[in-house]
Amino acid sequence: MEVQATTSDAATTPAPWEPKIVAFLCNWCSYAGADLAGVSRMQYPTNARVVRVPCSGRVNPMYILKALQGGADGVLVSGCHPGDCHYLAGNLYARRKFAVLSAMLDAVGVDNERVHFSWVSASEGVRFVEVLNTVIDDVRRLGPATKLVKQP
Amino acid sequence: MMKPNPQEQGVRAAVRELLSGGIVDVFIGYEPATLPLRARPLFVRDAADVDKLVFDPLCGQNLATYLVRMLRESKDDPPKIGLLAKGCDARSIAILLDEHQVSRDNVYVLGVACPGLVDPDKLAARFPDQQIDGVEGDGPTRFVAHGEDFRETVRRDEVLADGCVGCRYPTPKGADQVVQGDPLPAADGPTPDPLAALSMDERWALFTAEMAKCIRCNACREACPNCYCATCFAEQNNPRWIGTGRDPSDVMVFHLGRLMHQSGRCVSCGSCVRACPVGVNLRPFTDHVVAEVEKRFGAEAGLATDGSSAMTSYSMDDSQDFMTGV
Repeated sequence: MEVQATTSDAATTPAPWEPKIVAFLCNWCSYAGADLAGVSRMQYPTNARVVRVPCSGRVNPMYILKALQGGADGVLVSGCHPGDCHYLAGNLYARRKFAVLSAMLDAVGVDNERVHFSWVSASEGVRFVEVLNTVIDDVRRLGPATKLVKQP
Repeated sequence: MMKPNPQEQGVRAAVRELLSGGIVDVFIGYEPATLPLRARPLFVRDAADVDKLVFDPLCGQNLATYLVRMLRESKDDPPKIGLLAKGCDARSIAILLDEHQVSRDNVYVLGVACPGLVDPDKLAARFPDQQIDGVEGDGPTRFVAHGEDFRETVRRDEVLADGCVGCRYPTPKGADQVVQGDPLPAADGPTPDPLAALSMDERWALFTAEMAKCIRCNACREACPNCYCATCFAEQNNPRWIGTGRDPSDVMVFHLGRLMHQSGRCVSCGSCVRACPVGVNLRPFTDHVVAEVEKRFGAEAGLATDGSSAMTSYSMDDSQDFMTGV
């Protein structure tokens, strides 16, 4: 009897909202940085869903818009530091795209604190944790995403 | 039939020579449309049709749109296309050349010093009781509107189309020939950002209101010379980027995706706004992005054909002020 009561309690009390973050991480730096954080047993929140991409330059701005449309509360794109790109300049082209995307979201009134861009190298496990915490804190402050989210 | 204005006469004379000399196979210009105060494209293949050509401040549509479409259709035997180009249209042609969509050998650019475009609605509102048949430039600061028993001057800034305010390139660059006239005085700096005074909430309210009008007819895309993709991202189905209906989120993502593709490429010709049947005003958002690209990368669209356009190049020193943890 008691077990049953506990189960129905859990079903009626909604779980507290946790930000959902989609993180596009480049294969050569940021993904390895996240991996380093993991193997070094660093603690960081579980809000990020990681998508491994070959390069930050591979991140089509549509990926980000699509993530926001699909209900992501925040997006992080991270790649190699300038000068370190495995493909020499992919991150530098990406930097221009992201600058414009950021300005565009700003123009239409979508808080661009939901969309973060960062450089994290393969040796920066600590930095990866810091960046991710910044993203989660910013998105938590803004609350659940509503703008651009497609309603079923 | 109205008496042609001097610039029209210059255009007709030039086109007659281009066709008779075999320099072009087809010339794309304008003729009056069936609605008053509107012009539509005219494709001239025969010298007999040359006198149908007009050019006045109502000739808005960017004709560079037809270049890629015509050349794509006739792959094996591309015609030599002559094109009437205002300052903005010439910049669109430069983009197509820079992006290797069009070969310079296939295009003859007949430039016209642009008097600035008249917004037909503003003009009709200015003379509500008159039937206006036409309008032309009159010196650097005025237009003259005329009809039967009617001829009035009007200050240029009263009826100028929004997109032409602050135009820096009314006279085309890189044209094969330019027909002079009474051009709009060129502005010498960037136009102020219309969104600067708005809060984030006000911007979102404006965006939501404009997007709510959109019926997804794609007229903005069809009118745009930059939108030449054989399959637009909006119609791709693997992956399927956006739904096809009028879902508010899909409408927004379509326009944001399109705006992203316009970054560093939009020449502010205003064809998208002019083509829209429901009056969606994309301009403030596009202008904001255009201004941002110029501010950040010091680049304006359609001024160079050497592959140095903003989004296809980079600098090690590009600003990272928008990034986290730098």
